[in-house]
Amino acid sequence: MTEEPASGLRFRWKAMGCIWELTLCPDQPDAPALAEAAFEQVSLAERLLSVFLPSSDISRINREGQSGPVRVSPLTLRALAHAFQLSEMTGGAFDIACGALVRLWGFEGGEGRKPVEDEITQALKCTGRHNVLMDEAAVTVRLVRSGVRLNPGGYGKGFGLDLAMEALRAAGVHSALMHAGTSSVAALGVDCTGRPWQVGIRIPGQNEGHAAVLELQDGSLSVSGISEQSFSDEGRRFGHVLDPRTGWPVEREGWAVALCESAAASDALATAALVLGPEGTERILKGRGEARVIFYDERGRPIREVGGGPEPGGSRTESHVSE
Amino acid sequence: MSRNNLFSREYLTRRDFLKGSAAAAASVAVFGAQRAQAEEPAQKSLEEPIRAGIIGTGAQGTFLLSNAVKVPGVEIVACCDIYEPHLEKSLILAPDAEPYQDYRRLLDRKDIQAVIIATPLHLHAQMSIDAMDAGKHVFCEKMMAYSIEQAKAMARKQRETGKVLQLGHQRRVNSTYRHAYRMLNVDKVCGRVTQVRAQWHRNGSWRRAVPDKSLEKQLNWRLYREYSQGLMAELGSHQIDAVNWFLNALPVSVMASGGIDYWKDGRTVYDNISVIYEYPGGIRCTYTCITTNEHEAYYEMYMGDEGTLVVTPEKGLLFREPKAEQLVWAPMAHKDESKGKEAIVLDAGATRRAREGTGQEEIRTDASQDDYYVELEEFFQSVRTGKKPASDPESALQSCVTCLMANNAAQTGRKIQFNEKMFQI
Repeated sequence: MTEEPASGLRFRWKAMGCIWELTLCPDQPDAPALAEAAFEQVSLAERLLSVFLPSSDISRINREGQSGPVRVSPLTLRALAHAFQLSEMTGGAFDIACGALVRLWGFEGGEGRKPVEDEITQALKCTGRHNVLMDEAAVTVRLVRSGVRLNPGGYGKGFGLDLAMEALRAAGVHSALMHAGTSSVAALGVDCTGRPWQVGIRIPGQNEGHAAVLELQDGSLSVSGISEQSFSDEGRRFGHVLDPRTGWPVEREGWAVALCESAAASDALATAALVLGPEGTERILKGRGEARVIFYDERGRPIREVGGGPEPGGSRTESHVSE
Repeated sequence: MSRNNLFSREYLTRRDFLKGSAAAAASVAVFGAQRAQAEEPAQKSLEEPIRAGIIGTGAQGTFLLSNAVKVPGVEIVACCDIYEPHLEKSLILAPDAEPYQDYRRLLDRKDIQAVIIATPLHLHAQMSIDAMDAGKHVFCEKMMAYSIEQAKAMARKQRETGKVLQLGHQRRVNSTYRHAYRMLNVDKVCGRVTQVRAQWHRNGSWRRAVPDKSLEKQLNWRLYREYSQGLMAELGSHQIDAVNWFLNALPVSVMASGGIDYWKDGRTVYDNISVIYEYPGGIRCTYTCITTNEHEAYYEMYMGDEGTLVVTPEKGLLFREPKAEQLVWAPMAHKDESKGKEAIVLDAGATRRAREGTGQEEIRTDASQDDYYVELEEFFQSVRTGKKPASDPESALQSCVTCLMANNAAQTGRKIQFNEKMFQI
């Protein structure tokens, strides 16, 4: 995914293992200071949710949560409550309490490996939000059994974008675009020329050309596909997106693009959509007008669009095959 | 209760978001039941919680608050800021806290035992002294105070009241620094230290976004001399405090040069400064703090005739001089490559050092907690036990004097000699 070139001031930052980029309009007063404020929020999200920082709330929960309640930041509790509600809404197709599976398949910073069925059965027992207990009054989180691990992949970057967008909005910014490693992007208002922000969806494996150019206004967009990270075993390819209900990687080719206001939600929804496929995604979005998912095949052709999308004035799409 | 819109950002700001969360509600019920069954005597005997408040909830205050709320046995019951958006934000982190805009009303509360102060520098002394007078223990952000006299007044008030006064020099609690201190001073891994080089280099305006020009000085107080002592106070004091600590010494003289040479945006504090301190025994420390280039960011480097120790909060590296003997534990240590030279990494669990008669001892660095959390945990522990914190008023005053004199030297263009009286409370 790339943003279409738009004249603006660009600021870059490295966090959560990828490059983040913020675009502000050239006439935006205090632009460098606003960029610092936005990236401070990204850094906060990383300190709360990263599994790679031993001091993060998530690492502390994973390490100490089986022995007793772990006190966390109220913001972490909010993020977890939000993530678990998304998990419930998607019927468990998205679930951050799937760290045991992610680790088993070697997708937590290691090399991918195919486990045996027994290992998957064991890891499934440690998967699911019912294994995580939150106490709102005490601001604590506890894991009910040993082996349960949280993995906020498919949520954390979106959470960082949401915090950053909220900070920019509170500072009075009307126009901004920010992406996290090109897998999720969030927009405030319209671009510097007054048009909706243009976001190009790149065809996997190709350096040039876009499968589609989507318009984004006061909303977020996330892309999920299995081609980004995968390994092969006996001729079979296993991608990094796991179905927390079965314990197996999703084998669906192509990718899903989710659009809604919150980047954390679009991040989670794109992952769930890849797991559920178009029919399943349509079922969970029925009656919910706030989110939309577009499915593309492996060659970048739009297959199907489900859900309602953001409110009028929100994101619109103009899908077309590569320029 | 209205259904949460999961696809919007309201989960970040809606006060009742958690209350509307089925996930949280169900879990609380289950958790509550489990807790009732599992009541253990040890848990019952937990001491009364410490009730604390925070004054100043801007960027740094929010940072501290997000860690303070995690310290077991502590309740944040009051938040204070004169700027409403900052105050509102703090209530997301401490939803049960009472909001205040006048810090004196917060200090009036008899149930509050301790306060965290994270306000602009020129307010540190008055607020800390008022707090101690009101019977509160105080954690105050660094640098200690705007002037030497103010810092001394704070230290004297601490002695007079017997309250805990801890300053926010969190390198004092960082495990890499504590390990590095022992290696330099006990194991003498650098031999005789002759030079120190330290820097904090950033590439940015150091400005905060201001929604309205009338708020410029309030929100960007760091940039104006009437409220701030600039880079030496806000960044340098952390590192200069560490140098004084590592050398077990105070400087005898300082020369400095600084200017507003790049960010000509109306600020009145330097946007770059270069300092040379002389310590006893001919040890010189060069320190630079700039805002136009972030290459190699921040570190303190101790150079001795047998080795070089580079320390940052995240990592420490030891380079041995070619002529020095190999350390007995070096073959077992974790190695790293830096600029084509092999270095021993201080922050790895594999780092070992020899202990006379007892073989090797493994020293692990604890990366499992944020330094901000550790310093606040230490503060509340001091409130309970009366134990002196690592960043105490004496060392903080020394760091404050060391930094302010560098500013003075840069402003006057003179070499300044320190004397004992300057550091005396």
